[in-house]
Order: sequence, then structure tokens, then C-alpha cells
Amino acid sequence: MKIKPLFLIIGLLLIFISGCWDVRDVNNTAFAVMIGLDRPANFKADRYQVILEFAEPIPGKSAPRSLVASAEGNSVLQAIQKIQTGISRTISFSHLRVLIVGEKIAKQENFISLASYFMKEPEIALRLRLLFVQGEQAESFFEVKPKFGELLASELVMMLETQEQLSLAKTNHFYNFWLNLKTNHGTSLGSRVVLKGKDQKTFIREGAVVFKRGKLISWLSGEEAQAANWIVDKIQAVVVAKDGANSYACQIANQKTKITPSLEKGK
Amino acid sequence: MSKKDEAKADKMDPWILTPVLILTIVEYEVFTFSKIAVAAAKQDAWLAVMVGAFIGIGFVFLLAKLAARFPGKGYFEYLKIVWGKPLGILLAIIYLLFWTLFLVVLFYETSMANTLLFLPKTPKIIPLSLFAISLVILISHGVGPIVRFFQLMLPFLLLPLMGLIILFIPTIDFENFLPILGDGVLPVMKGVFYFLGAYQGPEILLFLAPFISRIDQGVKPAVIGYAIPAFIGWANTAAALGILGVAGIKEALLPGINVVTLIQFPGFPVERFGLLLTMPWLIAIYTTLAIYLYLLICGFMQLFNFRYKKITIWGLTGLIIGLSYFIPNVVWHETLRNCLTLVTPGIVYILPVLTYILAIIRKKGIR
Repeated sequence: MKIKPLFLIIGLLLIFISGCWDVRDVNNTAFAVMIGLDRPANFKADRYQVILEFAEPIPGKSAPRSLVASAEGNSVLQAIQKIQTGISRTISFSHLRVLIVGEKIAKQENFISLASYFMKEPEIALRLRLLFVQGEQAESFFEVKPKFGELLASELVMMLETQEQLSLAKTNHFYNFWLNLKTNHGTSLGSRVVLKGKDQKTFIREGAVVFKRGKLISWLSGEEAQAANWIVDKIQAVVVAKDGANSYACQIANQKTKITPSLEKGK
Repeated sequence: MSKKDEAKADKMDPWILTPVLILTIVEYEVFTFSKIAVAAAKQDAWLAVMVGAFIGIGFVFLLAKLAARFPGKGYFEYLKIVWGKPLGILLAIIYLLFWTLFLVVLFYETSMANTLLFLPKTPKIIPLSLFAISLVILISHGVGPIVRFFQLMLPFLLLPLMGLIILFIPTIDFENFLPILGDGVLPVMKGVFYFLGAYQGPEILLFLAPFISRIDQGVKPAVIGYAIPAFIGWANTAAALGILGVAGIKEALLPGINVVTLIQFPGFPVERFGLLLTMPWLIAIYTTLAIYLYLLICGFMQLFNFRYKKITIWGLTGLIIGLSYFIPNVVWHETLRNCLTLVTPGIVYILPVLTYILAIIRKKGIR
């Protein structure tokens, strides 16, 4: 058997044949970096509204440009396909980093079923960050102009990475939140985001969101979130105490919580 | 140099058993096994794999002892000596059927993983044909080049996998392992059985034995060659459990991939740790296919005294790829995999050990 020509043929086939069908050019790909989920205003027609923020790399510039597109559909996948119909580039979720959920859909739909698409799509990395928008649709959040850089998603990721220990805000990423819901009968604390301003929208990441039976039931303020964090997490809480007329504040560097459950009348 | 010395010089060192066993045992299942283990033993899956690994090492020790009892002879040859000719031939046919089914499933898994992760739009036949052509070239040159290829590939398989195991450690939540033995010992034993069923490959040493110069010194290399993939399997299962939890593993299609997508290091510029799995996965599948295809072809030619090597190689490879097309869907594939898992402990571990016991009783081979 003449090995060299055969290897040459195989090598050429390996390089060229797969490219006929699965060519993936960066210039032909729309990288979604942030996704928003809402209940549409016209709920009877479609169940979901999906909003995507894309990062468009611009040659010669360090920061990519941000583009936002949205569509409605009866499933998350259908809405994404509708967005695809209006975009010349193929949507890729390989760099998806943030999931934003509006208050209305979080109150109406069990998060486990809402998260199903994200758990099963092989392109999506499960280290996705998750935030719930208080009192607004997720779509409103996409109108916020980032304070640093061009991409809102990048600012959020940076914020969540550097402020994980912040006591006034609950930080719970997508997968941990999902696992909490699965293992605690649908109960968990999630990350809250609040929008400020009307014309020039900004946001603050403070407080927490409370889920019970898989659905949003309440919001916690910054102080309430700090109290909750004090019990369930190891965070650097700021404690303000009074000594007569004087008051003083101290930041806790290390803390330890021990929870001992007890039965009362067999319950 | 006498003819005997020349033949001896052609034979390989017993330490080649280590890379061959590692690359044979590590295949598709290593990255998906946590799902099966968790279905059986829940949060104790890591314990099941650990106990299974120790039991497996015991079996490998006995397999190496059996090979040492019949130096210079292949497994099919002494099956006839120990069990008698008719029963020996029947057992050899069972092995051939087992390998055929295993290869069919493995080719199906290769095309499935390829479609899911790498080339979703490319017709399945293209990557399968490329795999098949290169496999035919490799195995047509005999066991020597296969072993050398395995030795070359070993670092490319082990280093990324070991790197990943280190990366997993900070993300593991030890609460996911609790309560230990919460459901008793029985689920763990079930997990042990599944572990032994999923880790095919140790029987390879029985077929490689005639090519090894001092097979009596093969116990240590064989045990190490089994212990390393068992450790990788244990680490992957423990990491999947510690990171994804029982609920997450049950939900995941490919837990091995999901675990990698959860690793994060703040400020680290690249987050595509999944790429570390790509190369080991491809190498693991390719090498397992190569060795089993070689064994099937050699076994077929030896058993039926068939002399046309090229026809056998091309024919059987084509037949197996063709049969893999008859698996209609993933559900059927799962059923076939489960059947294989159930029969593997019997064929891979129990039957050789019974052969060893019978050889001692009937005083066959070197004592």
C-alpha cells in the first residue's frame, strides 16, 4: 500500500471536505453576549420575547460595538430563530455571558422550565451570569448605556466578578440558582438589578430576589439582602453599631455560620 | 543470532501494556459515565467508582497472571486448551460478536459526538470514512505500529485530562457529596457493577501477551495501565458530582462537557476550557477503535483460518460502519450501550478469571 499519497489525500480531505458544510468564519458570525427574556405585551399570541445583545468586533478598535435585536415566539428557540431571520450573520452563543429576566415572566413562569433551553444548548457555557430586573421588562435593561466600554454585558460580568463578596447584593449565577431551585423545592435567592433614570438609564445591582416554588415572589432591599447573605453566605458585611451617642461601622473580614435545625412538635 | 533470539528481539517490553491499556480503556464512556453512576448511586457515585476501581485492579492482576501462565500464546489459543476445542471456539465467537457490537456502538457515538460538538452540518459518512481509512492504514501494519502510535499519543491524552482535573478542584462544592451512604450500600454496589461494565479494555492484555517478551513481568504495567484510567474516571465522576450535583448530572446530556463550561477564574482572559477536552476525546475514541478493530480482524482470521488480510480489514471495517447506520436513534443507542454494560463484566472479567481457575484445576499452562 502506498502510504504517502494516501495520507496526503486524507490530509487534504480533512482540511477541505468538512469546510464545505461547517465553515465557521468569525466575520460571518454574530456573537450573542447577553440575552434577555420577557413575557410579551401580547401574551396570547406569543409566550416569550427574547432580546439579544451582540458584540461586533471592529477591525482596528479595541472595544467591540454593541448591537441589540429582539423577537417574540412560542418558545425561546423559536424567538431566536426569528431574530436570525433578520440578521445576515449566524447567531452563536459560544460567548454568551449574561441572562437578564424581566419581572413579569419570572412571576408567571417556573424558572426551571424557563432555563431548560440554556441547560440543553451545547454551545452555551453554564457559567452564565443571571440577573432579574425589578419592576421592569428585561428589554428596558438593554437601553442602559454602559459607563465603561461599549458592551453592557462586559460591564455586568466585570461587576459580578469583582463584587461577589459585596454584602448589599446577592450574587447567584445561573447554574447555582438553578441547582438551588432543584434541590430546595423551588426556593432560592437570586441577583437583583434596579433601573434608574428615564432618558439616560443607569442601573444598580443591589438587593436580591426571592423565589418560591420556582417563581418570583418577592424582592429584598440592600439591607435585607445583607441580612440574608449574613446567614447563607460568607460575605464581607458592614455592621453599624451604636455606643451611646456615638456610632461606628466595621467590615467583617471572616465569618462562620452554623445552622442547627430543630423539631417543634414533630415539625 | 539464532532464530529463537531473533523472535525474542522482535517482541515488546512488558511496559507497553501501560500505554495500550490506558488508551484502550479511556473512551467515550469516561466523559459520560458519571450520568450512569449517578443514576445508580446518586451522591455516592464517586464511592462506587472508587470501589469498582479497586475490584477492577484485582481482576486485572488475575488477568495478567493468566497471560503469564501461557507465554507466547494468544487468548483464543488457550481458551481451546483450557475449555476444550468446541467450547473454546464458542467462547471465541462470543468475543468476536461482543467486539463487533462494541465497535458498532463506538462508531455511532463517534458520529453522534461529532455532529453535536464539532461538525453539525457535515454528513456523518465524511468524518467516519476519514476515521475508517486512517484506521485501516494503521492496523494493516500490525500490532507494532499500533503500539508505537499509542505511545506517541499518550501524553496528548493524559496531560490535558490531568490539567482539567486540577482546574476542577476550586469549583467543587463538597456539600454535593452529602449524605455519604445516605441510601445504604446497595446503590453503591449497583454503581460498582456499572463501573466494571463501562470500563472495557483490560482483556486486551490477554491478546497482546504473545507479542510481549517477558509476560510474567507484566502484572505491574497492567495494573498501572488500569489504575490510571480508573483514576481519571473517578476524578471525572467526582468533579461532575461536586460541580454539577446529582440534579445537574441527571439533567445534562454530556456531563463531562457541562462540568468544563462551569469552570471560571476571575480575570482569566480565555474561558473556553472545553477545548482541553477535544483532543483527549478524539484520541481516546480513535485509539479504542484501532485496537478493537485490530483484535476483531485478527480474531476473525485466526478463528476461521481466513488468509486474505486486506479483504478482511476493509470488509469488516465497512461492515461495522454500515451496521452503525442501522442504529435508528439515541434511544436505541442507549439500549445497546446498557446491554453492553450488562454483559461486559462477564466477558471482560469473569470469563478470563474462570479460565484461570480452570487452568489451575486442570493443570494447564506453566505453573
